[in-house]
Amino acid sequence: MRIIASYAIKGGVGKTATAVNLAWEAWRGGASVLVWDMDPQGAASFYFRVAPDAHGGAKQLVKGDTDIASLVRGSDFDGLDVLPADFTYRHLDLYLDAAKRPTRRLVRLLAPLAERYDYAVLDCAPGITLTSESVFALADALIVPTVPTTLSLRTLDQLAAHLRTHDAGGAVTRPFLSMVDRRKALHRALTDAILDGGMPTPFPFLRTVVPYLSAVERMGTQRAPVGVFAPGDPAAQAYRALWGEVREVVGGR
Amino acid sequence: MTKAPAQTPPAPPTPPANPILVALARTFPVPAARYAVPVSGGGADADGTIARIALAVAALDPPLVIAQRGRESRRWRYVDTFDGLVHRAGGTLAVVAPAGTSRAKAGGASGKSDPATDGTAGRDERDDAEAGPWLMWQAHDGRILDAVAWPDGPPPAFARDLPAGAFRDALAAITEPRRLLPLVDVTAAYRTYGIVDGEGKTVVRLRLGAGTAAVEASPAGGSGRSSGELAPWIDVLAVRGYDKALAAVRDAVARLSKSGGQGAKADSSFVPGLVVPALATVGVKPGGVSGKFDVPLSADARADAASATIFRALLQAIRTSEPGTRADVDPEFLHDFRVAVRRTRAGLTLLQDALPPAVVEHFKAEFGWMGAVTGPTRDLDVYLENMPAYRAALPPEVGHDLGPLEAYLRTRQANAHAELVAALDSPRYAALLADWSAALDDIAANGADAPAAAEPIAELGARRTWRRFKRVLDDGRIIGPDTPVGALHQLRIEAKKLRYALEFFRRLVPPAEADALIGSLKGLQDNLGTLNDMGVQQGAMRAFAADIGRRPSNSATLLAMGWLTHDLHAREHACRLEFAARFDAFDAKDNRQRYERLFRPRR
Ligand SMILES: Nc1ncnc2c1ncn2[C@@H]1O[C@H](COP(=O)(O)OP(=O)(O)OP(=O)(O)O)[C@@H](O)[C@H]1O
Ligand SMILES: [Mg+2]
Repeated sequence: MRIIASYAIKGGVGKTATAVNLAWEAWRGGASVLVWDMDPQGAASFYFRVAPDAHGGAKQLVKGDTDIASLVRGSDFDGLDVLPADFTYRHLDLYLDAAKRPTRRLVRLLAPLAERYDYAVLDCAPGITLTSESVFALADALIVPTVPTTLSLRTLDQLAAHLRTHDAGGAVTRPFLSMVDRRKALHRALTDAILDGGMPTPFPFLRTVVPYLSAVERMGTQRAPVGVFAPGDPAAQAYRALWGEVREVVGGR
Repeated sequence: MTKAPAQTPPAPPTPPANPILVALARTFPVPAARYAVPVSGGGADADGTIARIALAVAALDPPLVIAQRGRESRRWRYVDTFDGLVHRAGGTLAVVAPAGTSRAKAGGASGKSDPATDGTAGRDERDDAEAGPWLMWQAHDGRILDAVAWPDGPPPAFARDLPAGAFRDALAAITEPRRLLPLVDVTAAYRTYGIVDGEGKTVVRLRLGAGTAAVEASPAGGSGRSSGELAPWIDVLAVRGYDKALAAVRDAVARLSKSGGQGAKADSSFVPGLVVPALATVGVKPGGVSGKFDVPLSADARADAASATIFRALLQAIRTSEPGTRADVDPEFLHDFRVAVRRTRAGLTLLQDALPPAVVEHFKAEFGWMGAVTGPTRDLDVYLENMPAYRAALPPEVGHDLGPLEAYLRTRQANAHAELVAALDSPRYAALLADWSAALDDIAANGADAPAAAEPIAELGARRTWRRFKRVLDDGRIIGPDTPVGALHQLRIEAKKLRYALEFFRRLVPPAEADALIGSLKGLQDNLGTLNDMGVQQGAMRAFAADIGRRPSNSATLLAMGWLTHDLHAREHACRLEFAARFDAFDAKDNRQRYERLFRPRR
């Protein structure tokens, strides 16, 4: 199982949209995929119409009472499953705090599922936390949606600094440009500078640009990946191209 | 502690999965349970069924709603070897092609459908290879073992016709050198439904199916087809993690279904594919057609007319295995041909009281001749088929020395087969079939002039079966550890005669009883049969050795054959030791009581 984390320090940059659509593209290509909704807000679960786990599955999991596999829910796509939110990030952080080797614990948690899926796609909450640090160590790839603004780019430097000063494991970090609005002069300038190499960045950027498109917003009312309800839309095409690049990075199917 | 983020991409893991397999696993999910569609007003009513399920799931807590997702039709052309090797290895092999409805339409579903909750949504852009048709190998539990794109034409004739690869190798290990023959064709129409919770999330899927099954009258491609409607069914498909909803829906459907339903977990005999109901519909047994002999009889039919029915079925079997016997494409054709001939002879003896004596006498002789002219080829076929087992019984270098024996057997087999074909081309054979057919027509139309001709077949059958049963018991009970082997061979023949009687009159007892009767006898027959084979093969080795030994360079082969003969002898001995236990199992109280209950004459 290859683990792909959709992660950014900054909030509202398209992490969840990325996780949901990449997972669906991987599934569409024939892989079996687990989406782990690590954000207590449960946005990824919502997009897949999976109700959050109301029974505090996380606590039981922490105590070792529950097998992680029993918390998994099938999505509407046979072979794409969801580990819903509220197997929560908060509980997880507490648990990891108490554990001796937090990263190891996370690896062990996922172990029973490793055989079943080709990919796990992690939808992370923003910020640097104990959980996110474990994710850095666990993941094969960190995919970082990055809006072309100075503030957003600054968080990339912060991430690079953090990874450098911590034992960050083997994740390949790849930002890509997210929510790009070509009507905005700054977006245009930064996007061009980044893609033609004129602007140094701490990690190489993926070439795919995901523009700011209303189809992505409509995921909230359709409650499905864009490729399902708008397969011909530029948004669906962008995520398809993005998945092609991510698959190259992470290996596998 | 410091470490730069690694930037080398990891090596790709597992080799890429076969995209056809992925597509198929999603297209043919394994159902959690299957139920018969309730029948109302004389016909299966799918819409009414769905309406009633909708009411039932709306009453659940929390309430669920049902939504139609799509329709599709497919044609399945199942193939297997004559003796059902694919089936016996735990699976089915079929060319599967879309029939009628196009795939895109199936994905998009009806106007009401919401593509977001259709498990097949968004896949309409897949390659043609992933839309079928496929040659698909499916395990009895529904898992797809392997698949390959295959044109919607004739299925492969041999495993070796598949493209090179793991699929071909695995199938060849099971079926080669057997030919793959049409088993049954199924056309099925499916309607899929989602059962949806308050979030709009599909928590259970339903798939309604209906279809027809058709079979060639003969695997050798003879004349005529028989076909029938499959009883409509509902598959309940689980969505991972929604166990409660699944249980509730299964409950609701089970209550509506006229049958109890079959579930993968509850019932290990549940085969989710279509082949089992399809074969039942057309009256063919899974696991091969060669052993099948199942003639519908009504208990009170006149014995002469019922005999004609039985013989006509056997004549048909002779005719349909004849082309394959001539062509020598697969030894099983000749085997079937001979089985039908032997059964005919056995039937002439068994039913002689109901048949004109002159007819019995003449055709017993003629079918005896048929048995004689086909015997040598069959024997040689068996030795050739045994070669791998012979080699396996010896150390590898010694097994290698059997090469000249195999070559010798092949030559003899070819000669024997040529003689056999000459016999089939002879006027005598043509006359045999024509006269026999005419005689049967005459008996069917005018009745036979014979003492038991008008007796109900059930009575005659019971009487004969009972007598043969008693004879097996009597002959078997006197056999002890020191009894000469000849007595065991006599018992083998009596047991075989009893087997014929059971098979002829199979339809006159309840199916479960028939299976139990044949099952208990089979254990004994297998033992006696192996015992006999081992003895015959030792004798044959001696005879072959006389020929092969003429060439001095064959001395190593002779040595290997000697070794082999010793092995055959050891196995014969082991059989002999096992006999007592096998016979005791046959002579068990419950088995005796079964015979008494079913066949014992009531004064
Ligand atoms: N490419 C895009 N075009 C238009 N809208 C987008 C795009 N990507 C994301 N959005 C919208 O922006 C909002 C935030 O996106 P999303 O939830 O994916 O970000 P996030 O990084 O996961 O946020 P959070 O940090 O809150 O988890 C959502 O309303 C989403 O619909
Ligand atoms: Mg989010």
